[in-house]
Amino acid sequence: MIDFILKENRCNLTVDLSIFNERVLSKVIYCLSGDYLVYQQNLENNIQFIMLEKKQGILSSDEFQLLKQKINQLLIDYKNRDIINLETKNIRDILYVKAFTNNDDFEDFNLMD
Amino acid sequence: MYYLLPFRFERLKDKEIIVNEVGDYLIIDRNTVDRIVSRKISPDEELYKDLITSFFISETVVPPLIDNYATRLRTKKSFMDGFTSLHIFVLTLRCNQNCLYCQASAKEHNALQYDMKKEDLSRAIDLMFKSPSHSVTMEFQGGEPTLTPDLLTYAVLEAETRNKLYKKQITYVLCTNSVSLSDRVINICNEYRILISTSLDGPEFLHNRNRGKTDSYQKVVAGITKARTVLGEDRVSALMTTSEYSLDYPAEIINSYLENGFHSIFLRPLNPYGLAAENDDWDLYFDRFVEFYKRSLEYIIQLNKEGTFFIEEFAALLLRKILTPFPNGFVDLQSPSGIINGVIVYNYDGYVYASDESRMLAEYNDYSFRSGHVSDKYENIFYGRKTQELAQIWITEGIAGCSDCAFQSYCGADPVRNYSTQGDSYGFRPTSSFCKKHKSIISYIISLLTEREDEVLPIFKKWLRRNEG
Repeated sequence: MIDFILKENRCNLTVDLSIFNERVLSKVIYCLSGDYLVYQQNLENNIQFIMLEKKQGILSSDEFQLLKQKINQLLIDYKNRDIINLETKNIRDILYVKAFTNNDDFEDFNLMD
Repeated sequence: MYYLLPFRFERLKDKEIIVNEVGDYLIIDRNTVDRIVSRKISPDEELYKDLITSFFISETVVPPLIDNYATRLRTKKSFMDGFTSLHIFVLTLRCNQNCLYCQASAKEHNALQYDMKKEDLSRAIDLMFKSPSHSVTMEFQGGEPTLTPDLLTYAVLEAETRNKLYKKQITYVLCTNSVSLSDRVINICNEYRILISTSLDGPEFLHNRNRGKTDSYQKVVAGITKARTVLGEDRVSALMTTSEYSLDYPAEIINSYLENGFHSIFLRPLNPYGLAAENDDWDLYFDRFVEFYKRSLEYIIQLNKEGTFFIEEFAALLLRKILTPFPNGFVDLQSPSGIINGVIVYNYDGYVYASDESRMLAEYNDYSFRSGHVSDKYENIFYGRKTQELAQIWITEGIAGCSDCAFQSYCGADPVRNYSTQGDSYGFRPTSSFCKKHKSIISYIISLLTEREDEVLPIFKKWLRRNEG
């Protein structure tokens, strides 16, 4: 699923994109990019290689362990957020249309049918 | 089987918080979000009913009460109905104090070239009356606006005269340091019901140090007393600014507000504009400010528990968003952002800016948020190209780092602050001090509501009732 390696002040990982898609990965990387420089490369078999290089200071083995936990947590959370966003996109649109359209001109379809 | 409805979540210590589209929240056990998303919540569980009634899940594709939910969403965003309601008039940049953290780039008290021209003031009043908002606030700022009593009088008289046609509800606010409130100014305030908003940073030693004067505190307190005597106690309010030096004195600052007869305080951090922008380390300052805020709020809660009614206004603003169906009207915590939508600034030189902070940038020759000139058409200023550009980045629902944030409903977008601190109006949330500060304080308030509900909720409800009253 995810493989981590600590190498020369860098955290290298490979992620299976069939499990965590590009949208999820992009958001995880965004969260980390305040502290790390990020390099990404698509490999064969739907695998993405990511290299995180700490912007300031040395990435110790303790920090590496914490970073692994954080990345795992972020991946799980953003995958859930992605599912919620995808599954609720239409109902959210309906909610906002109902809330903000001019009701005088709005034909209220029977959405319950 | 159930359907998901839109919601956002965040981890809090050993719990999770889920927040729906209108800001209703539930605190749930760790990994419950994963169970919700995986459809593992059974109808037999108490949580299932809570999730249904709070619009986190639905048993039908479209929840039966979606119209009620839509009405609540519209209510939450009702601050947009009136468009720009706060109109700030910078009557002069001249000032009679030397504040260490001056955010308004004040000038010497005799530098008359920094006063607003009457014709520009007249045009600015015209623009204010074109606002669709029925209720407008005309706020006079500086520099020190009491140094220009003629302009103040002219502005109020012109507004009163023109309002015979427009019939708007006008609230006047005079932002003054109160060190030289003349009888003339007080009489103007009395005649036209002008509210006074003054500055008091805390006890004498701290206030004087912040103001760069040895007698500022005595003068401010004398000014406050004079204003209260004529105008009434409820017509005078005070704001404090937390300098780096202030951070060590939370109890002393709050005590000084109590001693001076105030029933609330707005714990306000420095903003990175003007002289304050020269601060060395903003990350450290905001870390310390959050700790200062928590200590202060604890002290205020303790005071309330002991029978002294005293409000922390920033917490009250957040609580109104968290606990009530209504928006709070605070332009710094809005999405769409308060700039232009809630506030506009007519600067002393006739130029119009998207917010108070925007005109502060202009004093450092950065005109990025200049929306036009008072001689321009209303439409070109308020709906022009600059506004359209800002509109693309002024909603938390649509910008990276905010769109997935559980606290989105309680927070706001601030492109001017992003630009000032990060050099980019869009902003970068992972290193944003604005984001860090708000997340920390909102998390803290949520933790109080969750872990100490019996202790704090009665106090917070009293604060909200006062605000609604």
